[in-house]
Amino acid sequence: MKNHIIVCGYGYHGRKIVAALEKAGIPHVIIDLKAEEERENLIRGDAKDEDVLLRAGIREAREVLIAVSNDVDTVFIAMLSRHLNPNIRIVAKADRLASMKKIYLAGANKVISPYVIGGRLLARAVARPLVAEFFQRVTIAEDLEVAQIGVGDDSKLAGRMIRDMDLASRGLAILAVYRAGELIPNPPAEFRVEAGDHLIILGGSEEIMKLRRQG
Amino acid sequence: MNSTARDIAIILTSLVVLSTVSTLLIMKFEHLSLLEALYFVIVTISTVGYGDITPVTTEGRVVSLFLIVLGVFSVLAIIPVISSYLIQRGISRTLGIAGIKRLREHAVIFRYNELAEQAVQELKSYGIPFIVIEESADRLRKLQELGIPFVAGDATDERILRKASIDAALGIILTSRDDAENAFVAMAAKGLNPSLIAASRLEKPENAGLLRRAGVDYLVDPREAALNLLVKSVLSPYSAEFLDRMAIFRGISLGQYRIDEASPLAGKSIAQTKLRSRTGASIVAVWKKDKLITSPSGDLTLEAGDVVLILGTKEQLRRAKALIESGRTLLRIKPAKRAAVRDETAQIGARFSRVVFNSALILMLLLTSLVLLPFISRISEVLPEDVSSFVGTLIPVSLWLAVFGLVLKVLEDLRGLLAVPSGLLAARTTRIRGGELKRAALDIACAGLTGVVFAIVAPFISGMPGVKAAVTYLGLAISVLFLYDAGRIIYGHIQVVADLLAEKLGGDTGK
Repeated sequence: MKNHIIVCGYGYHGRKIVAALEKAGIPHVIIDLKAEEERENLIRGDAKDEDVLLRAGIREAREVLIAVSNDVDTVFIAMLSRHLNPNIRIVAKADRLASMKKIYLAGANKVISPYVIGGRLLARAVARPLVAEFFQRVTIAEDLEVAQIGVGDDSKLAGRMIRDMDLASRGLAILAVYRAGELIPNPPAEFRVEAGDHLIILGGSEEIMKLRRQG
Repeated sequence: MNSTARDIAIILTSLVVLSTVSTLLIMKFEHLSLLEALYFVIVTISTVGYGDITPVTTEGRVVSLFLIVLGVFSVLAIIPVISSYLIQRGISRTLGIAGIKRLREHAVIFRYNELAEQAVQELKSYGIPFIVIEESADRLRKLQELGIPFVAGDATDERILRKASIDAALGIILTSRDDAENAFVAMAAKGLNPSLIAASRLEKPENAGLLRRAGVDYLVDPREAALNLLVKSVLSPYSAEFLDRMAIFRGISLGQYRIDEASPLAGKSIAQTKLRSRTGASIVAVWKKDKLITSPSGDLTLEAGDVVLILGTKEQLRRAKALIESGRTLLRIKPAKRAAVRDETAQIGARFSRVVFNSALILMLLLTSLVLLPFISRISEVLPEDVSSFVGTLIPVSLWLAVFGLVLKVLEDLRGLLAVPSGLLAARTTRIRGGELKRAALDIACAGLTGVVFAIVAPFISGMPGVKAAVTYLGLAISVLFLYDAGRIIYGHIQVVADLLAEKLGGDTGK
C-alpha cells in the first residue's frame, strides 16, 4: 500500500475516523493492540513497536493519525513515526492540555485537544453567540460548509481573478487562500488564483461541489 | 459609581456644606477670624472639643447646637462606611472577588478545569471580563496564584450566583464533568437572569436533552468537537487549519457587530459601505432577525438591527468596529443612552417649568424673609431676651438652608437642560448621512453663538460685577461643553484618517 493513512488506536475516536475515511474512500491501515473486531486492514500490535509501524507501511504512508488514549504513548509514537519517515504528516489527539506542547516537540504537525477546542467554543458561545451559531450551521448542518478546493494545473480557476469567478451570485465566498503553506486571509477581489493554491470557501454544499468540479 | 462610594460622597458633601455655612455664621456672630471660626468648627465636628474657643453669644450657641447634632452625626456615619469600604477591599483582594467594582456584561465560569482554562484564554482575547465560581480549595489556591477573579462557594446556591453578579452577566459557561450539575446550575442561573446565554459542556451525549430542558442554549461535547476537527484535518487539512485558526483567534477571526440606527452602514448596500476597501475586513454573513444569509452579494442592503459577521485580522476587525460604531462616538451614546436622550428631550418641558417654579419659590422665600424678619424682631421685643435671639437666629438659618437647597435643584435642572441641546443635536444629526462632522460644526456654531450672546449682554451688566462674573462663568461652561463635543468627533475622524493613511502607506511598502 502506498500514500495511505495509518490510524493508531481503534477506540472512540479511532472508530469514527476510520468510518469517515471509508466513506471518503481513502486507503488506510489501523494499528490496535486490543481491538475486538476483526478487520482486513487491522494490524494487531503495539504502535510503539517499530516493526509494527513498518508493517503498516510507514515509509510509504502520507499520514499518521494518533488517537490512542495515553499521551505518553502518543509522544512516543509521534517520535518513532517522524524517525521512520521524516516527510510524513503527523496528526495527533492530546488528552491532557499539558501534553500538547510535548507532542508538537515529538514531531507532530497538528495536535488537537478536546479541551482547547471545547473551551474555546464555550467561550465563543457567550462572547459572540451569533458567530457560534454560524459555526454550528457550518460544521453540523448539512446545507452549509467551509470547504477547501485545490487548484490543479489544468484547472479553469487557475490564472483567474476572484472578481471574475462570479462567486457572489452563487452564494460563495473565498475566505482565505493557502499558497505554498502561507495563509492569505480575506483575499481582495483583484487577487489572481494560481495553480497549486488551496481555496477556503464558504457556501452551500451543492454550489461548492459544482465549483470543485471546475477546480 | 457603586453604593459605598456614593454614600461617602453624599456624607462628605454635606459635611463640607455644613462646615462652610457654620464657619461663616460663627465668624459673624462670635466676631472671630475665618481661621479661628474654622478651627472651632472642625474641633467641634470631630468631637475633640478642646474648649479653647467657645461660643459666647446666643446666636453662636444656636449654630453650635446645629453643628454638633448634624456634624457629629455625619462624622459618626462616615466612619463605618469608610472602614467597611476598606475592609471589603481587603477581603476581596484575598478572596479574589473582583474588587468592589460590580461586574457587568461578563461571563461567569462554573468550575475551573482544563476546559475552563481555555475558555478564560479565549474570553481574554475577546476582551470580555469573567469570574469563576469554584469550591475546591486546591483550585481556589490556583486561581488566587493566577490572579483570576473568583467567587468561592457552591454554585447551586443562588446567593453565590448573585455574588458573581449573574443578573448583569452576558452568559454562563458550565465546565463541570458532571452533566447533572451543569443542568442544575444552568437552571438556577436562568432563573435569576432569563436573558443569560448558557453554554455547557456535554460529557455524555445522551444527556443533551436534559441540558436543553434545563435552559442550556449551546452545548459543546469536547470529544466530539475534537473528533470533527481530527476528521476534517485528514479529509481537508487546509479548511481544518483555517477553521482551527479562526476558532482560536490565531491571526484571523470572525467578529459579530450589530448595525444600529446611528451606524453609517445602516440603509446602505454592502457595496456602498466600501467596508472592504476601507478596513480590509469583509462581511461573510448577515443575520437578519433569525435568518442567516451567507456570502451576501454586494447589493444586499444592511438595515438597523442586522448583525454582520465580519472576517479579518484583529486590526482589520478593530477598524471595522470603529467604522460601524462611528455614529455613536462622542457622548458615547449607546442604544440605551440614546433612549435616555429621547426621554430627556421629552422631559425638556418638565425641567423648564421646574426651573421656573423653583426660581419663583426662591424669590418668594427671599421676599417673605424681608417681610418676616422685621415682624419677628418686633415680636421678639416682647419675648425674653434668650428666646428672642434664638428665634432670631433659627429663622434666618432655616430660610438660608431652604434657599440653598432650592438653588442646588435649579442648578441641577439647568445642567440637564444644557445637556439636552447637544443630545438633541446628536439624535437629529446622526440621522443625516455623514452627520458626524455636521454635528461637530453645529457644536462649534453653538459655542460661537454663546460667545455672541455674551458679547451682546455684556455691556448691560458691566455695572454689576457679581452678575457679570456669574454670566461669564455660565457662558464659558456652555461653550466648553459644546467644544468638548466637537473635539471628540474631530479627534475620532483624525484617527480614522490616520488609520487609513497608515494602511495605504503600509500596503504600498508591503507590495
